[in-house]
Amino acid sequence: MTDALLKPFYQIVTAPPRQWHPVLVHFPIVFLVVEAALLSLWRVTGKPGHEPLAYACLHASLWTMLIVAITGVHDAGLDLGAGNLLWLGLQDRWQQAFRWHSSITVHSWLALSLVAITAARLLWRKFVGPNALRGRQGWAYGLMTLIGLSILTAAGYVGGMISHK
Amino acid sequence: MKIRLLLTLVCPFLIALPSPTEAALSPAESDEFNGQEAPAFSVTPVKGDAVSLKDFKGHPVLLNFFASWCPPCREEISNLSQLYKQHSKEGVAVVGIAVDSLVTPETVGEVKPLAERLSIPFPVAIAEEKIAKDYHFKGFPTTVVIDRDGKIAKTFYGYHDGKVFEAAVQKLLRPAESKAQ
Repeated sequence: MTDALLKPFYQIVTAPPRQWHPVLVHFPIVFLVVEAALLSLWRVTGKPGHEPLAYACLHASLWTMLIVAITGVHDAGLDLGAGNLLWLGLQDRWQQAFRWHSSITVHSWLALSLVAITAARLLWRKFVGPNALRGRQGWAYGLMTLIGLSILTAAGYVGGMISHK
Repeated sequence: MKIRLLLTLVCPFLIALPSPTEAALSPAESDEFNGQEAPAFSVTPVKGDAVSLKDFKGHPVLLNFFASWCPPCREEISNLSQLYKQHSKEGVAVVGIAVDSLVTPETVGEVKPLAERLSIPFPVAIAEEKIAKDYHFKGFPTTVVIDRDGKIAKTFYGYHDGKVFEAAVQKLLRPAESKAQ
């Protein structure tokens, strides 16, 4: 039992996965959910400590999201013959970009929308500061956060179907 | 007002969840058709001469249904190519059937370039409705294992690792070896 529990900790080094996207994708998800939870806590309790933490989580979420997007392109190029995996993956994604019958296409567009919304929120917070969370702006910011979470749910649902293989 | 606005913005994403996209089947092994005579087929590969089931009489055959744009199918093709290279001398045959013609006719033209780019060593043909119907095709990827006697030995739905196919092939190769001894 101990071995089974410890295996995931060392296996990532001794037997690295072929596809990194399914492994790393959990990081931005967790950061995004924790950020939303901290924002809600800040709204309810008004404790000033929650707000900068939420901002830090937003930063972490966006940057890990970009890494995860690159691994997604890399994984898409894995079984496309010889060549640069990122380039092959990009070519494949471009070719499939508007083929809505493919769940990976739907997943990619949802993920891109999420990156765009997260980047927009980060820029908003960066340039407006904590005022982005107050008054009418606060409501709009909260709405964008909720939309981001609903896209995250949809992207995760479709992505989960893909990794079902 | 705010609630209405919120619902308007959030609902489209929730409605989009059950969108009719084609995902790879969930992995499952089926014994439902085991022992049934494998239906005869004759297909014209995108490269090379026509092949039919009777050409492989006395040899195990793996019939792989895939879609050219499906990444798990491509990964499976890579596993099957490796298996084919290892066991073709022992008579193991693999035939790829691209179901693009049935599910996404607009991508049929991409099957041949894909076969060339991946240097698929076994014959790859475009599916016709008859073969899909005969082999109870319900989604991709699907691999039907046919034994030396021309009977269905196993049906794999969804993506499967090379080791799974290796084990299935070993099982089919074993009886003949023991008979020879």
